[in-house]
Amino acid sequence: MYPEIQKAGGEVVGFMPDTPEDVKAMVERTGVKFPMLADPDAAVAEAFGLRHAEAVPGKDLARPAILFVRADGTVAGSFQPDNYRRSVTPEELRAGFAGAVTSP
Amino acid sequence: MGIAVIVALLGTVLVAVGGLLFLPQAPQLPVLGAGDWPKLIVIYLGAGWSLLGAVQFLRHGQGRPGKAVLGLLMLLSLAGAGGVSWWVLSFSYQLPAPAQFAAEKPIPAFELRDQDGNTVSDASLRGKPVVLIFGRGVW
Repeated sequence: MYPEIQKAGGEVVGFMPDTPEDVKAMVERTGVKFPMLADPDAAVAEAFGLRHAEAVPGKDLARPAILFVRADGTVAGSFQPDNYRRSVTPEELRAGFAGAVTSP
Repeated sequence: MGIAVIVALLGTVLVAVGGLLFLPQAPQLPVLGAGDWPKLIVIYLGAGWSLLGAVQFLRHGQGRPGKAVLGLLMLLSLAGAGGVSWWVLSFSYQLPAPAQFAAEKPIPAFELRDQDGNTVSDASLRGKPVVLIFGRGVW
């Protein structure tokens, strides 16, 4: 999906509530091609309203979410499952991204 | 002999106590809090003791009624521990309510470093549509 979004002039950015070292290791392990940002205290997730308090005993994490952001920085839509087991489908990703491209 | 029975009984009691401690939050358990781990440990410890005691008694003990009762207790303990495990596992995946985003408001300001040490901020992403993916990370 990433090449498809890039070809359409879009960008993908990931956020992980981990240390830069953990993020680097994770990127190397999974071969992620897009920028993966380290958000060690989930502070940015908090700013987005996506903090998941005490997700693991003693550790706050981010609520898994995908935001589709327009060129002007506003949010066109989001994918926020109510369960960790549910992941986004390519169709949902495509539709969400299309919403961020077409709207003003 | 007596020890096996005591261990088995104590195990069952532990499972029951652990289970009762969970009861107040039974309808829903969004995520396991730090205070929940001791309860789980008590339950599993109890199940283990119950199993141990019952097996010892079944192997060396005398009397059919006693064996039947201890076997039943063991099954109850294991079922209790299994039930709690299932319950915890099925509910700990539940997530908090989704965040709302005002249609006209830009995303909050941020500035973070990516895996290569490059700085990425809300400003650097302006000018093109972006997909932001928030993960729970490794833990």
